[in-house]
Amino acid sequence: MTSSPVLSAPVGEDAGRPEAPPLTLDQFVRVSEWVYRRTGIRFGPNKRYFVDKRVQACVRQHGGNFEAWFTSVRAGACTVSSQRLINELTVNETYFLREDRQFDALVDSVLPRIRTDRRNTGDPASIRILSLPCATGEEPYSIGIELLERWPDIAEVDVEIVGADIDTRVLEQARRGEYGERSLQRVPPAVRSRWFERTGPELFRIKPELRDAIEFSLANICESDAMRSFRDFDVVFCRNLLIYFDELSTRRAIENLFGVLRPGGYLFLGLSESMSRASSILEPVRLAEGIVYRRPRIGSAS
Amino acid sequence: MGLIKSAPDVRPGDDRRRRSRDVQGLVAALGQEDPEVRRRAVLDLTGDPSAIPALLVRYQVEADTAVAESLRTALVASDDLVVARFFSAQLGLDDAALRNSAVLALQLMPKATEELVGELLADPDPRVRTAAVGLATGGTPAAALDRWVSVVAQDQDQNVVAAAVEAAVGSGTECGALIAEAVRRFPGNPYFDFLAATFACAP
Repeated sequence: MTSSPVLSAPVGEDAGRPEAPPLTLDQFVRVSEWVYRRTGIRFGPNKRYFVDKRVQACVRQHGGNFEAWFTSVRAGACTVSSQRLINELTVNETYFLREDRQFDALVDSVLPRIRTDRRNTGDPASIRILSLPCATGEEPYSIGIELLERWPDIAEVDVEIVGADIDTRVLEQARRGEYGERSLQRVPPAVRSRWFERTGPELFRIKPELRDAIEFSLANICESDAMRSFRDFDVVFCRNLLIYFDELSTRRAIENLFGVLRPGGYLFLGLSESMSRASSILEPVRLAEGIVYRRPRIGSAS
Repeated sequence: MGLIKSAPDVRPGDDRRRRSRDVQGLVAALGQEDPEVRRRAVLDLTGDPSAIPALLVRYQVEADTAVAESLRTALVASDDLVVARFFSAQLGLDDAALRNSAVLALQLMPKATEELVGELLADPDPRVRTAAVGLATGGTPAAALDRWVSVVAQDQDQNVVAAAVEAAVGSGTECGALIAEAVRRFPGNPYFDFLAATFACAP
């Protein structure tokens, strides 16, 4: 459930353009460093072939040589170039209801706690849930489906769900909300019939009432400035992303997630992830369904 | 009630925050009472070399865990020599937790730490030299090995020498000669004898 570097073929829209030469070591290092600074993802020498192929595709698309393309990426004058590179290097693979015990934890443990807090404090604010990275949208839609199917309180409270990702291409797919059979393999037939409509032989689209209820937005978890737009969330799903970061990037990301959460808000990491070594600013909470992390209740930002 | 479309991304207060993002104002915000204001000021100051002295000063008095963590991240992310000197000064403290914390910080500052390693390996305090042995990995593997060989040949403290041997063994380098030298210099040291016996038996 992640915009993470996964091996797959580069997009094929450049067919017919002349081949760009392979990257030199110096070029690879420069591109890797730029990507690291922008995304927190470190591509080591073992990923050189992966990076090489995708950069070549970007250079071909841009026209000219490597230096012309990289200048446009670094200068920031052409956000298309830099965004395209990020899109190329963050290919996504996920499916509906992945690691579903965490959805159980959300519905059966976390949301009831938040409801109790709201009642106790008289806070009328809607409950806000962020899925970051949301990839092609399966996670935020899964959260929506789980709430609508299984959480009785949904009739009494407003819930906002936001999906965010660094990759503009997957955000477009998420907004479209159209998926193949493989993405839906864990969705029971009855649930499928309630929330999906068939649009092709093996193609299903989220029904408009759910699709239109979820906001999708561009976000880079490593950019503190940009992450300020995301605030006051009660729950954040950030699963299987930090495993791609080195320690410093992980610390930065966790600090930005801390800022995204309301005091007392909950963070779900991937099942194989832990922040015990990286940071102590979020406290672990042991639930019947597993461990989540919570932002302590401290003063709020001005 | 039910699922509702989220409000626009930018929440009230963001414009006001953007307007106030001058370095002087942010440094002043480091002393504000609300820890979240301090924490956000730290994030805003991250990456600005001119803010490092103020961040260092605040780090030494900050009581809030989250703010202190943000300060620490901002400081180590700078990979700055002044910051590396600050943490390296903690390598000789009696508090083991602080010493370990300083080592972890220095490990995240490869460039600045590399500049200091020679100095730290010559420190009169064996605790500092022991820590420095583990930090001597910022250059090439060959340069690190050279440093460990030098420590094993010259350092007077057997714990420092043991740290160097351990670092070399852990790096996967052929260490037979290094271990033999440690055994020669410190006869009867059970750790070196154990290593020598283990390596002698290795296929």
